[in-house]
Amino acid sequence: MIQKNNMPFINDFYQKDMLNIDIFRSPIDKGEIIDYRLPATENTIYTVSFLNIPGKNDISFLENHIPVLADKYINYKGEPIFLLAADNEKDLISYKKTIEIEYKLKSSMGFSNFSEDDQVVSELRYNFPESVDSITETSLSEKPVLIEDHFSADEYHSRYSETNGAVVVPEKNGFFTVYTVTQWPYHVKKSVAETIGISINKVNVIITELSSPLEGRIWFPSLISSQAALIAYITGKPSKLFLTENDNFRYTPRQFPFRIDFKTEIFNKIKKISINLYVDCGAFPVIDNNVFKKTITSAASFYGFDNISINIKMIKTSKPPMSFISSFNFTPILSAFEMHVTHIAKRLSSDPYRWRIDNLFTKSKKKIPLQMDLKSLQSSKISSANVLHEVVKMSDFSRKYAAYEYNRTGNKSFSPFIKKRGIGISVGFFNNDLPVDSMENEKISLKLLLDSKGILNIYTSTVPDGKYNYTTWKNIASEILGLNTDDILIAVHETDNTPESSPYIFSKELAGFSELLKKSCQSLQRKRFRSPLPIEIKRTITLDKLKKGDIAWGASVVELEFDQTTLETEIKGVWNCIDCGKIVAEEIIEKKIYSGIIDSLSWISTNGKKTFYTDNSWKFYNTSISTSYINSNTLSRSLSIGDIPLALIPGAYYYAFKQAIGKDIKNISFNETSFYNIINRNDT
Amino acid sequence: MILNFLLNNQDVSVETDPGIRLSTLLRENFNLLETKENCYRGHCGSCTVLINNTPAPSCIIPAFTVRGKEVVTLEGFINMEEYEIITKSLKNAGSDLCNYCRQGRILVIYSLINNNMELTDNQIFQALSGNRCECTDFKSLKKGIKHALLTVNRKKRAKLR
Amino acid sequence: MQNYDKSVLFLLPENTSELLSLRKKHPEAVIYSGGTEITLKSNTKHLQFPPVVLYTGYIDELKKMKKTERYLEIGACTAINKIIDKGKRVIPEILLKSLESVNPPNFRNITTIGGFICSSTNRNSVFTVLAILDARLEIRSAASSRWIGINQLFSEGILTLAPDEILLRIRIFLKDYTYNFYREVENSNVSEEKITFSALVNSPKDNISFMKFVFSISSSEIIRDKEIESELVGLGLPLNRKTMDITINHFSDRLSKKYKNISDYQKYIVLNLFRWFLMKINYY
Repeated sequence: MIQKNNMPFINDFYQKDMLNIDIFRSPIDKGEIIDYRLPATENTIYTVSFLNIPGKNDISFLENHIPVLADKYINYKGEPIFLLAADNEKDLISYKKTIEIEYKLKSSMGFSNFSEDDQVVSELRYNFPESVDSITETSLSEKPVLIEDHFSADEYHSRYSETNGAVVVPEKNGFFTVYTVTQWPYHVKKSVAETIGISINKVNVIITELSSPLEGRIWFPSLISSQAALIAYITGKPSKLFLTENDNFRYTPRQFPFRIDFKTEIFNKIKKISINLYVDCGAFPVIDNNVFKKTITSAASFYGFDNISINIKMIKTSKPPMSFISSFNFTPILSAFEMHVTHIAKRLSSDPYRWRIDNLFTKSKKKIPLQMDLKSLQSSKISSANVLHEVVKMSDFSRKYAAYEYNRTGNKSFSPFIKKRGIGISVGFFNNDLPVDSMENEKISLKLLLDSKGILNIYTSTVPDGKYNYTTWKNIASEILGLNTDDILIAVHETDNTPESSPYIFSKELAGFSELLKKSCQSLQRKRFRSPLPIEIKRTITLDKLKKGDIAWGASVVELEFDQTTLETEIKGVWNCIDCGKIVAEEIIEKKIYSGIIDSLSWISTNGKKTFYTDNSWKFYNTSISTSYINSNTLSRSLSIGDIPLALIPGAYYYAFKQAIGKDIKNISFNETSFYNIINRNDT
Repeated sequence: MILNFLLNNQDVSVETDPGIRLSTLLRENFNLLETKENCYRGHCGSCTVLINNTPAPSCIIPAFTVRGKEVVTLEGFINMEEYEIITKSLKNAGSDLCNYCRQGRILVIYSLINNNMELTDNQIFQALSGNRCECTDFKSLKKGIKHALLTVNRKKRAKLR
Repeated sequence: MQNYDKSVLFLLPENTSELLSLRKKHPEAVIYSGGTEITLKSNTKHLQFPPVVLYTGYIDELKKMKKTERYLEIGACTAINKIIDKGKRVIPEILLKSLESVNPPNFRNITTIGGFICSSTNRNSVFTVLAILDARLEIRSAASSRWIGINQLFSEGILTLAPDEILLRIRIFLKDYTYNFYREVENSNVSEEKITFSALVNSPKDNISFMKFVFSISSSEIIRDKEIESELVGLGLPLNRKTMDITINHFSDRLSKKYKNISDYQKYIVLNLFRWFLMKINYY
């Protein structure tokens, strides 16, 4: 058996006669290919277009479709048109420069100025209750307070240690082995088989060494593996497609940019909220409106609104297809929601912490449909209050908030020496509910083999989001079976030797997979007393069996200092409290929280224009981050925390900044130039 | 050109393109795959090697500049006592480095603790900010480095005695 | 061995005289010191070089530093970190601060001071500090040697050195100043939008006897206003509020008239830094 620690990284993969693949990408945003000329060359260079695809020119993902290679229509800048392959990478570079294509240009499709007729790919209108009066309590003599907010967020993407790539090796009898890193090996298997038109049984997918992070690699590895497989199929040679950092940065899917408008009516308490959400889904949408609807209704429900009206539009643009990072819960929307909530608290002259405590889980006139049972609702109520209390205590929030509020109202004059401080709070959750109902039939599987030497082998095609998870898996097995962790081996994730599993994120990360592993080990332990070695255990659960309504709550406080002279912001501290149930592996949670916070801070402060080369995340390495973990409902299982930092940090940062400068912010991410515009805007 | 230099404590002579990136030379001619190639801009830190005991991003260093110099990669460092001290200290501090960034980070840490008797947080931050892998957090790295420094200093003092 | 492009000629001199004679023979050669300006231009696997490359890294005498009572001399091929390592006792504080701001930090081991100041894209931070310190540069060719002020190194953004000339040493005269300031403001997502501010002031007995301040913006603009400097020299400290406001307004007017390419944001930061500077010398 190949051990995980013997696997190379994709770029370390060398094989004799291996062809290197380069991609000729569209230089235009949108248009039609009229004609093209491929130059003559003395070198052996293979050129493959969509016409050479023996199978389907399509990677399907959750009922959405993305072409492997562009046909005659170009939908985004950088869309793959030709695959080029040669022994020598240098030959490809010079050859690529000489390809000529004649295009008929069409207007590029933008997001901010989208056309209703051409770009809205789907629209969802949702009202609860179905008939909603514009103002619900007109009989009240008091006038409603109307609070409006408009937020927008740019792309959010991950920066990978190793870029995306795939190596495809043709084997005997028409079989193919694919080496890649993906969250979903079985999706790669299916996509490759369909692209080159062979039986799915003839494709084996092996996961190479993992580098951080894994997120964002849900459908994209299937695309590049299919492209590499095409070359391997046509040439009969091992083929390697390894993206350059530049291409990886530009074309690996990132999280959707969006704009969200809130309009909230208040009579003492919040009565009605109307939300318009516009999502930039790139050239090929990979997700549907329901995901967003679920996120918004969950967020709204916890604050007990009576009426909600949601209007979601998915906008097609001339950008590469997007994806979702870490969580289907679309955490930046939760952030926008928290920013709006903070605004409400402010308008009602309340301390944002106190207001949340008073309004979370207040009884609403009509119960918003939440896919939660009463028990889960009750535990959420306890969790949310506890994380808020704890984080407020840790950060000394109330005292600082009052002090900074006093400073802000007291001294408005400019002094180059006075750095203005602000502190903000945000509460949020990671909902373990499945975003798309069709996922309910997806499953996670596991095989355990306790061999005759007493060594436990764990086989699964569920790829965790970091190598460190293996330690947790070993610890779980070791605890139940009483084995030394050195006697527990994780088999390489390979579709040929592991049962089919849906992606790790579907399995709700640790929470789902750990439960399955725990149960499998317990069952093996029982069998151990009855049967001789070797013993094999296979277990599968479908996702609908996973605990629904499980919600991990978190709260964060961000304190910052704003330099009026340079418009620079310095984070003075970040405090978090996460209710994650029973902690299986604190070091994993800590790393997730840490990298989530660094990513969030970096994303917030680059105005959405972060590039690999201007990435400023390293500047936050030294940020003081304190996190405490609680298990307020004394659960015996862990709750997955998903991308909680991304849901919490922007909201808290937003208010801290707003308090420091005394002005509103419309974008979720900002930089010094936008600070300048904000400060010089004529409002209060 | 024929390039002679000291690689992992061994004199090597290789006929090479003088303009090849040092990282490519190490990987393709010497099969030293701990040196990763990724950004080709010296930004990610995974290609860091020691050149004359100074950490440097080998992806932006052409081969012709290392003639007669001493180059150390993780493969050459792995047998040194300091490797053991650093990895153990990091692991105990909760910072088990991934295989992608470990060469860069370990060599930078070695250079830090080898050249300083004391380290401030800012020194550690400055030195490590050249490696962008998020497999671990700065807090535990810092703790591990300070512990490694103490151990190395103790050994240095013992040797002096 | 891989096939490679033999059309590039790499010249690797080991001493200054060899360097100068090769420079004379190949005036078209591009000088490669730390090399970041060349290597960062290609971000694919294969580096792209100009036809002739003259590498100065094997010349030990160009990596030396010498300090006398009067001046500090730094060889052009000294790596930034090697200079930083000398610390406050050897390196003027303002220069040290600017060297420590060269990012990312791991580049400081390979970037050389000579390469840094000769790069047309780096005419901020270290360059402006050397300018304010009146650094002199030793320019040599096989036939001649001359010293120039660092301000003469570029004319309209282009290096003024003759094709056979090369920068060998940087000399900084050591003087005591009452105050020296260095600040850098980096727009977090546009690294080219860096604004730096450097200032030196002498004010014995609270009278400003000498003042020099320079701003650099995005490597393209260097702002030095001698008229404002002379308005301030001779004044006593602390400056009164009115004088400060008049000076700042005057500077603001001059910025608008003389530097039309700078953005509103940049002007705002420059004026803020100027106000901060005046208040700082008032209350230091």
